[in-house]
Amino acid sequence: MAWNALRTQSESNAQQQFELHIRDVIDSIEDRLRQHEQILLGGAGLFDASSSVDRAEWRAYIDRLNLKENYPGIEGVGFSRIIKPADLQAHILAMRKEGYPNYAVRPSGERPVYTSIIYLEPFTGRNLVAFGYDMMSEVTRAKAMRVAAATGKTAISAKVKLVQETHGKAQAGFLMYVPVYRRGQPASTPDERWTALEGFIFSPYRVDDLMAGILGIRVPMVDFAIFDGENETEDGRMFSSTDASTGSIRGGPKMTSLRTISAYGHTWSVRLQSTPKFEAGFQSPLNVAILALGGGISALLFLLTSFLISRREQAEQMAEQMTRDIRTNQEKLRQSEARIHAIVEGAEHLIITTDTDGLIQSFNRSAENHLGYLAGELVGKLTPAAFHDSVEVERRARELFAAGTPVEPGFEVFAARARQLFGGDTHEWTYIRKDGSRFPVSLTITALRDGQGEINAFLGIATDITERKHAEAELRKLSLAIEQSPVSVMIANAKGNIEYVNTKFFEVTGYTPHEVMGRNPRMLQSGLTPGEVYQSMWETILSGREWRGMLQNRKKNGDLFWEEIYISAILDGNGKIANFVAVKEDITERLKVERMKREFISTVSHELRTPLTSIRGSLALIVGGVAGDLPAAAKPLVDIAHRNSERLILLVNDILDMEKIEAGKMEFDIRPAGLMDLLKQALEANRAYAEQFNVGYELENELPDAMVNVDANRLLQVFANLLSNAAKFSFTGGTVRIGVERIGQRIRVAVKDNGPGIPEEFRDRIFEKFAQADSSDTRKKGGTGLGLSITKAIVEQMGGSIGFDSQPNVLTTFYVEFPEAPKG
Amino acid sequence: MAERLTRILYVEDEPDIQAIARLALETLGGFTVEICSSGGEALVRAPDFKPQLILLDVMMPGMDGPTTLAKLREIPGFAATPIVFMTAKVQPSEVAGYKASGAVDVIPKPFDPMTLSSQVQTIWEHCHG
Repeated sequence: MAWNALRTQSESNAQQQFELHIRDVIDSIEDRLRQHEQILLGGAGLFDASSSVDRAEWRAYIDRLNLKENYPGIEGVGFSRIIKPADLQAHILAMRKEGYPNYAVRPSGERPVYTSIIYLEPFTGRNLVAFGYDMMSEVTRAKAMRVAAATGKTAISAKVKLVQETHGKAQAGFLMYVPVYRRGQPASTPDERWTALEGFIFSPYRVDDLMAGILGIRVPMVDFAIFDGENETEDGRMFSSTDASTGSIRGGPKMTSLRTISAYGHTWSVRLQSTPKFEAGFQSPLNVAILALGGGISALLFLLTSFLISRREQAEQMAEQMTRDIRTNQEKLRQSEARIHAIVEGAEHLIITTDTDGLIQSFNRSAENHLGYLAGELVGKLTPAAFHDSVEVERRARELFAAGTPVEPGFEVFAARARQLFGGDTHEWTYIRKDGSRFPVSLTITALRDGQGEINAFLGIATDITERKHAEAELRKLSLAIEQSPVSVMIANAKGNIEYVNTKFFEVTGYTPHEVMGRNPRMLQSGLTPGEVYQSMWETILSGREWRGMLQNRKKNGDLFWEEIYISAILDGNGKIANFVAVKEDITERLKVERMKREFISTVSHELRTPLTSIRGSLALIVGGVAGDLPAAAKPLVDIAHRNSERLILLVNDILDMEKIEAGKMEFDIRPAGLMDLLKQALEANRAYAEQFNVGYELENELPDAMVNVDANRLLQVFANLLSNAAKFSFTGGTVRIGVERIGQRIRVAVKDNGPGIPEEFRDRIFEKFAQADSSDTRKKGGTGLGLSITKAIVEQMGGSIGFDSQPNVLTTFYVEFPEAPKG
Repeated sequence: MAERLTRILYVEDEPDIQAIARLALETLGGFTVEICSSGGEALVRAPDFKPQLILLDVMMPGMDGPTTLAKLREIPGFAATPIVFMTAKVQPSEVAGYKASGAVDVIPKPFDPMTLSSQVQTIWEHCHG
């Protein structure tokens, strides 16, 4: 009973095996036909892509395919051109001119349309015979060609005898055609396709050769015959795998089957039957046992069977071939894996793979470096939860829940979206290093799928975004600072159109964002700023410097306002202007306050002068004895009052001068003047003053013809200041020497004293307002503390300069220089 | 040789300054001085007093110095009388303005009473030099 059962099992297995072989044969044939179609489509593509494909190009294409190696059984690949009768002679002439003096379209005779095989590579041996052959002149070929041309699809012909069959045993043949249409011509209907038809890419096949190529050195476990059409007729026989010479299929096979192959509008019938070898395999108990091991027996098992029971060498050959294939594949796989490994290990990204449950399967070097774990500590042991923040994971779980993807706060939080998407799911996370420190990452998770589309792993690629986050935070901070800035900030693009303005800008101008964005800042111009201002502004900015200045602009409501503006250009990496940045402060109010302050000072000073005139006048008259002699005790007191009233007047005068200078209202009556005259006048006017300190003036030299362009009165004021300072700060009994010299185009007047000089720490601010080296100086030396400040301003307004050198107690020199005025 | 200067009309709204100027010009300079407190008063009294030289304050309530000058010029016999402005406003453009309006000179305020007479004398001589 057991034997019987085994027997039945064996037969059933044999049937399954037979079926496997049938499928193998049919699939192989169909696969190869598809491959061949790809070759033809590739050739058609060449024509589609190029206005003309010449012989050399065609040869190059076919050479690259390496037909002999890769597609054994293919005779060649050619191009057959459609030729209208009217074009026939020209065509023949052209071909002859190309170097084929005997070229003709064959067979001869008149036909409504001609075709000619003009290319057929490899252009050797049997294929040479086909050159110039009009395949459409033959009915079987023409039928397939017409089908291909009208449908725009690949077609294969019925059984033919190829023109290549010139010698040796004639084989059955067929052809495959792919139509080629002229570029740019409509080809959507059969009629249009006929009109546009340029020719055919085709391949002729000798069926025996083709089958040998397809079957290779396979052990013939099934015999089969191919018949053209749906019936097994002797006329239609195209191929027999048994004895090609007899073409007969041996009687009495155990198993037999009839299949059809429908390809490219044509049908082949295939009769398959088991071979004695196959049948023998199922008579050995060993084989039975082997076959019984499993229903779905693999090809390898079957190969083993063959190895055991069939001709050993044949099986060995086959095994060798398979081993070679496997080795090649393994080598390719190994190389590919090595490449991927190198990429993964060399990447800056953290690359981590897990199985479907989240268990880490790989952990690249960057991940090790970033997270401080070694791959060995995690792989196969832990899930990414080891370095994720559980709070974040829970939060993400809630987010996903809210978004309609309910997940437990575990690995599914990472996997859920990746499962749904074909691309990756990207999200920002915090990673926690082994030492507890944290860093932000952008993590993309992709589900990896097997051949059947089933997810078998997850791939996580994380980027350390610490710097990006830092930059973003920095940017946010800066943006906020700019946005909240108390001054207006405007950024324009290289064309000068506004890209950004901050809140203050809107506050100041009254415009709304959509009224401003993309417009030119000249929308604010009042028309009151002179053109030269803008011109110098652009010159400055475009030369790469920052422009600072004031513009009177207009608000949306028409009100004028003054802005103090800093503008500079921002360059891109190539040194081209990318943006203009303007920082603007509305100084209308400030200017108003300053003006009011100056006016107030001016008014107060003027008002002070009237009573001062009376006070000083009265005191001067008393001191002058106009009121008669004073009691001895009263005299020094009146002197004090008189002297201080004089000082008060000087102070008021200085303050008024200062105010005029600051308001830009000090006037200068500039004309050429003789320097020596003015200098001598000044010496004369100040001599009495110097004598108070027992100091004398001495003019060292003269430049008799020196002329300067100055306001004479103002220059006298300058000299008075320098001369009085020098006298005041000389030691008693000293001499102040005055020298004049030409330095290039300039005239220098130097006032020198041997007094205590200017302390080092005071030198920086000596020209500032109310600056005095010793605050007690005002009392000791008199003076307002405005003198040098006013002097400097006056000198500069007249185009001159002022400076000093000081060696305390040795020599202190103050000098002014003016450009020499041309004589005459 | 020019006529000796003796009669001066001084127009000034500030009484204290009037007093000082009077002392300076009369006591120290020995001039005969008539003082008016406004431009209007000067126009009324000038024809009788017949001054040889007029000192005119610029900033006065009512009629200011330049206006007074213009009106004085309209009085017969005053077309060429030297008129000197006394003012604190002595920027070059201001001085030029005074001279254009017909003043012969400007004495800046605050003036020094001890030298006022000699300043006036110098101007007088300059006019008749």
